[in-house]
Amino acid sequence: MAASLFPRASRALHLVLNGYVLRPQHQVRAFCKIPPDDEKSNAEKQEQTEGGSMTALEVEKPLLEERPQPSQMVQEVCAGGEGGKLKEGKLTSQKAVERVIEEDQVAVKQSLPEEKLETAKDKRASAQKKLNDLLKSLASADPMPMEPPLKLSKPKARQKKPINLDIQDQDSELPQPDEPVIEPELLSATREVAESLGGDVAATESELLSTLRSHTVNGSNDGKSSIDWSDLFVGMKVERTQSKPAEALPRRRRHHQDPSAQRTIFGDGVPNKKSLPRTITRPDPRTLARVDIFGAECLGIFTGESSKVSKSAVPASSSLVVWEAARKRELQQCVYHPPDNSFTEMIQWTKQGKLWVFPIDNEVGLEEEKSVGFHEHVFLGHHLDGWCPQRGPIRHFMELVCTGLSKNPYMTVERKRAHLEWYKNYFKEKEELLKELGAIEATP
Amino acid sequence: MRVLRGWWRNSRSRRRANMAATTTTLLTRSFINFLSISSPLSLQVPLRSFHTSLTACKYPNWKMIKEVKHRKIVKEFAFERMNINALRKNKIIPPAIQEIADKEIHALPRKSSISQLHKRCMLTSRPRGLVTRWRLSRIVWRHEADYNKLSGVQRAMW
Repeated sequence: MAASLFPRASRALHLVLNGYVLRPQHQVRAFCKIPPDDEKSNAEKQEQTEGGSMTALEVEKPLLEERPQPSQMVQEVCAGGEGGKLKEGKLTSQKAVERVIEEDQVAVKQSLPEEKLETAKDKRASAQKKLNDLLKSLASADPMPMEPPLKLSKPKARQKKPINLDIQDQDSELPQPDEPVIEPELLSATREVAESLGGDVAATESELLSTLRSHTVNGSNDGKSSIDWSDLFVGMKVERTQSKPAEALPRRRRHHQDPSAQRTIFGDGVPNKKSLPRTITRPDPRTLARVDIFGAECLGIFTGESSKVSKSAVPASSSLVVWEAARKRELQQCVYHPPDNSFTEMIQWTKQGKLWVFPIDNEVGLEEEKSVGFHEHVFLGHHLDGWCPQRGPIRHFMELVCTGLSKNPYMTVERKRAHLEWYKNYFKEKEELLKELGAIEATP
Repeated sequence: MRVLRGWWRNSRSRRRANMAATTTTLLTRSFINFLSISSPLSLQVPLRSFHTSLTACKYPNWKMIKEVKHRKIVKEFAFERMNINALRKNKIIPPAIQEIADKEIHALPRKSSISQLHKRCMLTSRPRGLVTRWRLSRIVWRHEADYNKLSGVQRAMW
């Protein structure tokens, strides 16, 4: 804020900060508004606090040393910039910083019992120090601001374990054999599958086993590849950003929850929607107990036999024929989707055989006839052998029938034979009558 | 095919068929609901989807439906009828057998005869004024021809 208002000063400060060396507080002789008597008393008090702080909190010592920096720097800048105009010259940039420092010093001035003084002063010192750091950070135009030497505990980097798909591997550590190990259960399962599929059993089994082996190899490779990633990142530079500690977040949530719970109780009696936490606080996975699913024996509760039993409760051969039909239709309709538009409808009709298939083929539906030779259509005389008389009106009639059938290309051979067969049966029924008439010669 | 639907919709018989279909669906909707409640599957049955394979829904007319049944009987006895007729319609077979054949064919159902069939327009069930090749009445035929739905049919000009 001050830096934005006073850019020259901020730039100067920046230059100074980069090369500044810490000086102990007692050596500083600040040229500021405060009269020397007060300064001295302040200095004495500060020294006292310093002494106290040494024993109590070793951490705060360097902080206290750093405290008077901004005031010093401002003074030096003024001295360097404008020569000897310091004492009289009161730069506005100085004022802003000085006022802040004065306030702090005034606060420090206030008399308190010594014991309390020390602790209070420690707190105030730390607060001042933080303030000064803030100002510093504002003044500096560095893209990477200096980290204050506050040592905060950070969470340990957790090592991620590689995922184990095989049940057996969970018990022991990851074995890395040269050949991938396949369980005997899997082997038997592959054998059964190959047998059920039919065909070349050995070939199918070998294919399945090869796929299994490739999967196991991939699993082991994934474990290895996780190591390779870290090797990749060795040469790369990583931006370091101040990350919040993970433990701070759950604490906040709890603080928020407690007052909200109180509000719901003492309020109208109806729980406030606003007070309720918006996000569902999930249990921390770290706190949950680790469960091994495949450790204990299978209880056999959810094997699916119960569902089968419930289905077979109603016998299949029940009197509810219509209901069964309706159920079947329902299932069909769930699977069947009506056409989206007329194009798909026409496609459907073509498949069903209701529409012509384009390009038009005159021999649609006569694919089988191509395999039948013309001789079967034309030469039908041998069908008359055995039952038809050699002469007479019946022979004449039958020969005409054969000629007519041979000329018909639209009939199938089976239908032609059926015609001839029908006549054979018909004349067999009328045999006696035909013999009386003299159509058939009585064979001795 | 869209024009087919137009004729289909406008005919009186189709309206009756629609009515019949809706009544059937009213009876069956509760049936469907019951099924949907009992079954885990959620039924998405469109309107008038039940009983769509009824003969009444396929043809424009009850006369047409009777005609269809007639044709089925004709197809059933066509083989026998052809053979017996071949025996009858020649001068080679002795007449005694031909008389027997006459009696046999007379014994077959009357509706098995092709000559008993009466053609109708496939879309409107019109008994008269048919164009045989397309199985349509002249009015429908003209309509389809004007909309260029009949292959090779063109307005005559000479």
